[in-house]
Amino acid sequence: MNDPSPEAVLQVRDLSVRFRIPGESLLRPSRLLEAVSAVSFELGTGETLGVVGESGCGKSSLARGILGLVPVAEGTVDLSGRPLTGLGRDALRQRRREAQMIFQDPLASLNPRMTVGEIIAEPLRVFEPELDRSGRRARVEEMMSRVGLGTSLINRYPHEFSGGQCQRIGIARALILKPSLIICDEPVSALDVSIQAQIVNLLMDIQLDLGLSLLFIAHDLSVVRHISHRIMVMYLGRVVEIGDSDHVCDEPMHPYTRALIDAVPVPDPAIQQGAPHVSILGDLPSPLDPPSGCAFRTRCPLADARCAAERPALRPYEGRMVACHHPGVVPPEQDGPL
Amino acid sequence: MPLLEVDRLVVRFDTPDGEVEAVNGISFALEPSEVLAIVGESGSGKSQTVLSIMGLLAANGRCSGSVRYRDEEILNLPAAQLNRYRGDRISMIFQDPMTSLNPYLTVARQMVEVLVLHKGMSETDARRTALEMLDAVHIPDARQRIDRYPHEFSGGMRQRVMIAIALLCRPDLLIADEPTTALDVTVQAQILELLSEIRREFGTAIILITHDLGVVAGSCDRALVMYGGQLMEYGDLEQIFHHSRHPYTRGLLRSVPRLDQPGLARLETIPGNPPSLLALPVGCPFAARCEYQEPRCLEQRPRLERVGDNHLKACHRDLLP
Repeated sequence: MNDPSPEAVLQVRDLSVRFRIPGESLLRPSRLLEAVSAVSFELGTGETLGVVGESGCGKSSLARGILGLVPVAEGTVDLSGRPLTGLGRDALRQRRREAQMIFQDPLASLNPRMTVGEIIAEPLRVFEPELDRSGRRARVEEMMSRVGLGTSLINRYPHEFSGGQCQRIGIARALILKPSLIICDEPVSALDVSIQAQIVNLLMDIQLDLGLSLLFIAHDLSVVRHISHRIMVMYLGRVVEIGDSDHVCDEPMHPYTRALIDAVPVPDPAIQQGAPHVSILGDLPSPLDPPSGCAFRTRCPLADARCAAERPALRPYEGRMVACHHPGVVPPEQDGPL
Repeated sequence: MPLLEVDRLVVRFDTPDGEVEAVNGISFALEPSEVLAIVGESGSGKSQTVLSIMGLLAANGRCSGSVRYRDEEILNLPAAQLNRYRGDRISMIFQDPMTSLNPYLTVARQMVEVLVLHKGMSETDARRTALEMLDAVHIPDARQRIDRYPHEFSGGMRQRVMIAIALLCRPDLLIADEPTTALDVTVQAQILELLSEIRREFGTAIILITHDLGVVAGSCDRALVMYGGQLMEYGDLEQIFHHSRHPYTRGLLRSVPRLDQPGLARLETIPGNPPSLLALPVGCPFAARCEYQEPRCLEQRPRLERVGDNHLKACHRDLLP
């Protein structure tokens, strides 16, 4: 795959997304949940940035914040050098054609009462109303072949397709307006293994052909490593490590990244049997009541007094950025109860 | 004598669209304290295989063949007789613990009920045993938590509660249907570790249903690979992962991205889609997607044959190991 050009398509600065959660009873005050906290990163032309973390780490809220699908509390988002935040409804709507999204559940994201052709053509009707019927049909057919759907299927309905084919329809719909950015939110996690590989390859091919930038959100670190140039690891709404995929996966510097990687089983018994799997304990703390200092300290084998007192900033370390007071320290192997 | 022997198990469903051939002649044996993985994609028949063993098929399902537990036939037993085994000698946990736990009852009630019913224990004894089991699955503060409701537990803790309930009667066999699929990878690692601890300490045999080959590699002794309701290959991990004799197993292994390998290369794929169980092909169900396809693959279903010590495959071709 080509090296991505350094020119940034997407610039996210100090982005925070907050949700107001109703109080536990009518008499109690509502509470503020910070789903994304001051996240900054850039995405280059033709680059794929993978975003990983456990459920509740804020990766989907980040995607929605970037596209303005949820209100942004603080921070800015620039797409192709022009701001995407602070826009009015209509202005934002006009800019959405430049950034499209692919969702996890392919069937649920397709209107069951529209044919495949209508689904893929819908963005064209909205954004290119001047295009006539035959022009639209030509664009739809071209896109269908591009994503590996026979054009003879154009009048079929979503329920007639398998999960993998539905995801191809979702990809065609996202690509039809020739966006510069595609955000994929768990695009292959609902698919079977053999189908997952087909879709991953398709996304990689399309990116090369069209010079797209991809923000690839997934919980499966193996898939993320495979498709991404760089990886961003999130924990409780914050970035804990971001850097080149091979660096991050082969030599993780944040104890959370290391724990995630150790927990992923590799399909090879020679490696997997007897390997230490459990490197961190317990579950994610409640985002309504995040720990003081470093949010990861409650599960971190390296945590000390400083971690509880002071939140580590994201700083350059060993060729990537890490937010940890003890970057690169390998925790002693744990044994005893889980 | 094997703990469980499944012989030519067939499962069919009558649906408005026709007959669904969910499982088409599966045979395997499980030894005491062995961990067997059943691997396959959705629709491969892996869940229906174990549901029929447990007598839990949907009302429109029928099964035939034989399932012997310690040499006694248990397939198609009436519920009253089957209940002597299930929940007691054989128990099962599912992917989503929230749908198997009763949301209206405290964990204590759900655990005590099992022991009173199966073991005839008094409430006090049952509560004590239940607490011991929650400790054994590492639920912190079990003494307080036992009186809570399922929704007060996190996903990982709920799965631990499910495992504790399943183990209450000290079964010889635990069937786990995708027990970690809904969990985050760090919590998955903890639950898999717990399952291997259970096998070590209680000598429980485990059938682990999964689609994740990494989970198989880390936690099992043997694997059974299913496709289109049929057994494709069966063997120990070395045979399956390093000396597979079946094109589907090989294709599956090649198409998974691996975290220990650099990315950005094309993945090898298996072209096409799995067959419809409403209209399975006459020949091998994998033939349409198989790179080694030859005419007889489309005409004749391959028989299961022995290719090594405890290594079986169903393929017309003779792939070298």
